[in-house]
Amino acid sequence: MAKYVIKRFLMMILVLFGVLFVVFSINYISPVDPVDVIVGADAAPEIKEMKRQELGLDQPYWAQLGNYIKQVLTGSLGTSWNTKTDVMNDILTRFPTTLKMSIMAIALATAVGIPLGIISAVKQNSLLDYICTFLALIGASMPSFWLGLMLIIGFSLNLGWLPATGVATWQGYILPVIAIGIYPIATITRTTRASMLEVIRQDYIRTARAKGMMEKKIITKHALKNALIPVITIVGMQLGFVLGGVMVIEAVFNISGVGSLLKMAIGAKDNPTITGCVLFSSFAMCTVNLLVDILYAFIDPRIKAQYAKSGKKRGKPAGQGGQLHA
Amino acid sequence: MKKTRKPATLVLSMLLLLSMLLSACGGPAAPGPSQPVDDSTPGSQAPMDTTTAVGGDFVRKTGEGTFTIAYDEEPATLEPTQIKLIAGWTISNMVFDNIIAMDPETGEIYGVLAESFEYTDPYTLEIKMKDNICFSNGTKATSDDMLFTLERLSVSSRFASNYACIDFDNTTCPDDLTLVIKFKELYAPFLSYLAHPAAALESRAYFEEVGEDGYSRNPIGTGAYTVESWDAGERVTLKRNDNYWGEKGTCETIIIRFILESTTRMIEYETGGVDAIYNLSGTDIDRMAAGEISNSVLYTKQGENISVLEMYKGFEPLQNKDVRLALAHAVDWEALVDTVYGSSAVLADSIVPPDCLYYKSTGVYDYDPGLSRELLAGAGYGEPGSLQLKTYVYAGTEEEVCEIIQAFLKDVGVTMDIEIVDIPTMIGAQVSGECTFGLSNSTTTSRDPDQAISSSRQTSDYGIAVINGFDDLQALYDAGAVEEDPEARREIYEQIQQYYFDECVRIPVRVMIVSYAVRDYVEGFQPTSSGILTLAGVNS
Repeated sequence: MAKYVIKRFLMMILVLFGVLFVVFSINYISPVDPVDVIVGADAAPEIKEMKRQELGLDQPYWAQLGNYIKQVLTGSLGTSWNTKTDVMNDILTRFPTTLKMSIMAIALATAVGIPLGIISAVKQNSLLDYICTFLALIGASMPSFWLGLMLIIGFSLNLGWLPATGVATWQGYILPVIAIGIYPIATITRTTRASMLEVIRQDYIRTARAKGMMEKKIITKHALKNALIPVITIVGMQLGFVLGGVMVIEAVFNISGVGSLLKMAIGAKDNPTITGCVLFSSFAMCTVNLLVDILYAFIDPRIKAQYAKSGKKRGKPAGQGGQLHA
Repeated sequence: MKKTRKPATLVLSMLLLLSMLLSACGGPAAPGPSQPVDDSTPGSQAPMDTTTAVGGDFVRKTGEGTFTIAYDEEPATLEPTQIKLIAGWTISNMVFDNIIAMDPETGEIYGVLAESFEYTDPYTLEIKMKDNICFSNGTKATSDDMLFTLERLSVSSRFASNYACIDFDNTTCPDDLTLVIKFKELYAPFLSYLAHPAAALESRAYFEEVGEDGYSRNPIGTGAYTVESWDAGERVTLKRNDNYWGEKGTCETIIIRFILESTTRMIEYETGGVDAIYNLSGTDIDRMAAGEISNSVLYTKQGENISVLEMYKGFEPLQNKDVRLALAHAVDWEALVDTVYGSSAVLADSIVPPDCLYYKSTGVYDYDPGLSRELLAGAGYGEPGSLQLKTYVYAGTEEEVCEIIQAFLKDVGVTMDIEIVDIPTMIGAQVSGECTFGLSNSTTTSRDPDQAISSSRQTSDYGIAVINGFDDLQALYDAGAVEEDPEARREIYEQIQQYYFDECVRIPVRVMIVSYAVRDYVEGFQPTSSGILTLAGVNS
C-alpha cells in the first residue's frame, strides 16, 4: 500500500513538472511581447529594454525556465508583473474561497446526485426515472454562467432573498454553489444510475433476492457499496474539474478566487501569475486525484488484493502486509 | 403511476423551475415617472444629461455615512505614476493631492498644493508649495517630494515621454517649499500633464521606507482620505483623513468596489449593495432613462474614450489616399455604432473626443458604396478580392464592430480577415504590422489633445507607421508640442484634426458615453466625463 501511494505521489510530481514545462513554454513562444503589454506598445525603446532586463526576459529560454524551476522548488511562484505582489501569496489569499465553494458544490452534487441516481436505477423506465434522466440532461447541458445569472435575477433581484455578489456572508455561497454544482449533480446522477443498473443485474444480487432478502437491504447493503466505486472516481474528478473551472462563476458572482485572479492575469499577460495559477490548480487537481486513488485502494478489494499479492511475492512479513491492508 | 417517496427530485426540479420562472417574470414595484432635468453639473466642461426616477420601494442596504461605488475594473497598483485604470485614479484622487489641477469647465490650470507656479523663462518653471501640507502619516511635504514625484513620472511606463523634457541635472530645490524645474526642450502640454492625477504628490521618505511594492498596495498621500484596506478582487476601503489640511471629506468611509461584469454590477446596484455604479451598458442606460429603476439619478455624457480605425501605412495599398477613402465610404458608420453600442456610445466626428481641449468636429464619412467601388477601381483594386486586409481584435464588442465592417467591405469587393485574439496578442500584431487595419481605443484623461493623438506620434512601429509619409502632419505635431499660446495651439490642433479627416489617416468610429447611476439619497456627487471622480464632497 505504501508503494502504491509513493508511486502515485511520484507520478503527481511528474505531472506537475509537465504542466510547468508546457505552460511556461506556451507563454514563452506566444507571439506577444509581454513588455509591450506591461509598458505599452508606444513606450520608448529604452524603457522597454529596461523592463525586459528587469523581468529577466532578455535571457535565453533555458535560463528563464531554469530560474523559474529553481524558484518553484524553493516554494515561490515569483512576483506578479502586473501588481508587483507575490504570486503564491495572491493565490493563497484567494484559494480558500475557491476551495470552499468547490467542496460545497461537490458535497451538494454528491448529496443530490447519488440518491437521484439510485432512485433512477431502482425505478428504471418509470416516470421518476424519466424525470431524473431529464433533469440530469438539463443540468449537463445548461451553461453555468447562464444559470448563475438566472439565479441572481430570480433570488437576488426579484425576491431579494440572497446577495447577488460576493461571499462575505454564508448566504453569499448559496447561489454560486448551486450554479457550480448543477453540472456535477448531473454527472454523478448519470454515473450512479449506470453503475447501479450494472450491479443490480449481477448474480449475487439475484441470489440475495432469491434468498428472500428485503429489497431495501439488497440495494443499500449489497448493490450500493459496489456501485459506489466508479462514483467515487467521478466525484474526485468532478472536484478537480470544479476547482479548475470556477473562473466563470467567480466572474458572474464577482467572487475573488483563484479563477478571477487567473482571468485578470490573462488579460494583463501576467505570465508569473498565469503559470502560478495553472500550476496551483494542477497541484490541487493532482492532490484530489491522489486522495481518490488512495481512497479507491481502501474500498476496492481488487486493489487491496493486487498489492497484497505483490507484497507476498517479495517475501514481506505477513504482519506488514496485514498492517497495510488494515 | 408509481408513488414518489424521495422528495429530492421534486426539490431540485422545483428549484430549477422556480429560478427560471423568477428570472423570466416579476420584478420590483413600478417606480415613479422619470424626470429629465436640465442640470448643469459642476465638474464637467459641458453639462451632464441627468435623468431622475423617483418613487418606488427601494430599501437602502448600505450603511449611512458610507458611500459605496462600483467600478468595472480593478487597478493593479495605487501608486499614481503607475496607475493605468480609471478606478485607480479615482482612488488616488482621494488619497493624494496634485501640485496643480485643471478646471474642468474652463481648462484653466490652478494650484492645489502649489501656492504659486510660474515660468520665469521659457525653460524654467518655479513652483512654490503651500506651507501647511502634511502626509497622512504626519510628515511634512516638501519640495523634495515634488522632485521625487517628477522623478517617478520620468520612469513611469505610461507617462515617461511627457516628462522627458525635464533637465533633472539642473532641476533644484532651493528651499523646503520651492522647486525650480529646468527644461531641456520646450513642451507646451507640460502643465496639462502635471495637472493629471498621475502627477499627485508622493512621499520620498515613505516610498524609500516601504519600497515600491509596499507603496503600490498601501500608499500615503496628502489627500482627504487614507487607504484603510485593499481586499484584492473585491474592494478598496478609504477612511477620512481627519488631519487633512483642506476641507475634510464628508463621508467617514468611501468604498470602491470592483465588479467587472456589467450585468452583475447593475444587479448589485438594483439590490442596494452599492450606492452608485460607473459605466452602464446601453440597455441599462435605456432602462434608467425610461425610469424603470426607482430612486435613481442617471448621469450620461460623451466621455473621453474614443475608438478610431487605424490604417497601417506599412501595407502598400493603404499608402494610397483613394483606397483609404474608399474604405471610409464603404461603411455606414452611424448604423454600425447605433447597432453595436446602442445608447452607450455615439458616432465620433473627430479623432479627439469632444470634451478635449481644442476639439473640432471634422465630420463623418458618408456611406456611399458606389463612390467606394469607383475609388477602388481607380486605384487598381476594382476586382473583388484584389484588396485583402487583416485585423486583430479581442472578443467582445469590438469583435462585433469588425464583423460588421467586414460585411460592409465585402459589399465593395474588399476582403477582411478577422483574427479574434486576447488583448496582448492584438497589441503584438499591431506592433509587428500584421494588423493592417484595426480598431484602436484611447482615453484622454488629461484633456490635452497631445494625449489624444499621442499614439500616432510616439516611438512604436505601429504609431510611426500611421503617420509615416505625412510630413505636414509631423510638422504640425512638432509645432503643437512647443506652442505656448492657447489660441495658437487651438489653431494647430484644429488643423491636425482636419488633416486627419481630409487625408483619411484615421477613421473616427465612436465616443463612449460615460454613465453613472447614483441613488437619490446621495448628495454632492459630481460626475465627470473622464470617469475619474472626486468623492470628498459626497454625502451619503
